[in-house]
Amino acid sequence: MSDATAVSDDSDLLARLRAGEDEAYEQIVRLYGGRMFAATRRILGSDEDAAEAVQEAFLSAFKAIDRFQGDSKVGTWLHRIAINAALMRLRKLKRREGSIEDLLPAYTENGGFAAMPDPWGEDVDARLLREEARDQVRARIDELPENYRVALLLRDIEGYTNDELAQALGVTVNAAKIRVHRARQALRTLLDSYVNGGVDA
Amino acid sequence: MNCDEARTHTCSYIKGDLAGEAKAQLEAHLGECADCTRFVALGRSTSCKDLADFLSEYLEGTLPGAQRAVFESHLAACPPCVDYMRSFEATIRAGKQACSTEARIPERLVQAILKARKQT
Repeated sequence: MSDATAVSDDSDLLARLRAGEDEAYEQIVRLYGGRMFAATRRILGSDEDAAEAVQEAFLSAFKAIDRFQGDSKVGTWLHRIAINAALMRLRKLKRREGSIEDLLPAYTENGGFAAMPDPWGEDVDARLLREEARDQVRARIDELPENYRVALLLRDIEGYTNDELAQALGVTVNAAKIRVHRARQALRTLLDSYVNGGVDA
Repeated sequence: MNCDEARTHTCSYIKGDLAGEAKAQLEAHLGECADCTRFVALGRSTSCKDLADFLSEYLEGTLPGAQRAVFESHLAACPPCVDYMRSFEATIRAGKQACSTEARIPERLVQAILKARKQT
């Protein structure tokens, strides 16, 4: 689908939403709700919390539909509202924050690796693409300390830029970059035992 | 020792792990090869930790040119850093792949949202 098609679909949809057409409301809930539910569930870790965040997002978006400028696609706009609702909810839940230090590489005095990284092999992408491996990867992401898990989800899964991430987290761009980087390093450490743990043997 | 041979030893040489005959041969080569001497100097000016700390910036192309060149010299001289970089990149791809599944919104959530809209 080209952008031009998307925009014309959106303007038709927007007109129907603004006219209060019930089918149009049902249509956007079904069209974008699945992705919003999946993203908020990854952030919040429970179906129940995700459902509440998605419902809250849709209702506040419906109220703001007359003010929607059309400078992004409706789906993108809704998705961002849902993620913000999930982040607000996460702050209220105030879960325990784990430490990242143990998951970062250790170095010698001279700045060399304390333990040489094991190569992952040429076929690692194919191995990690299999269904059971994907479950393992998701489980490892869930093991990350919360601040880092959220930073990785927004940057690498939701496609936020560093600037957008900084804004969503309420931190400086540099702090956002460091958080994502450490989250990736920590996930690499967590996956290393899976990749090199003879799981395929 | 020629340049190709020399460069397979520069990583362990820089870390101080090269000894004996290999070390003597490498130092003899460095004595007469300005390119390899410069290569070792660049490798020394950054550590594996520096590289690992700035890997996201390096891969996203946001490192300043001079620092990028130093990183590339280090990578050329340090197989463990290449392994680390490749596994780091594979990690990012694996995360994206693992979370790319399309999810359906539960039917009762659809109904709850549509009902709540009518009530507000």
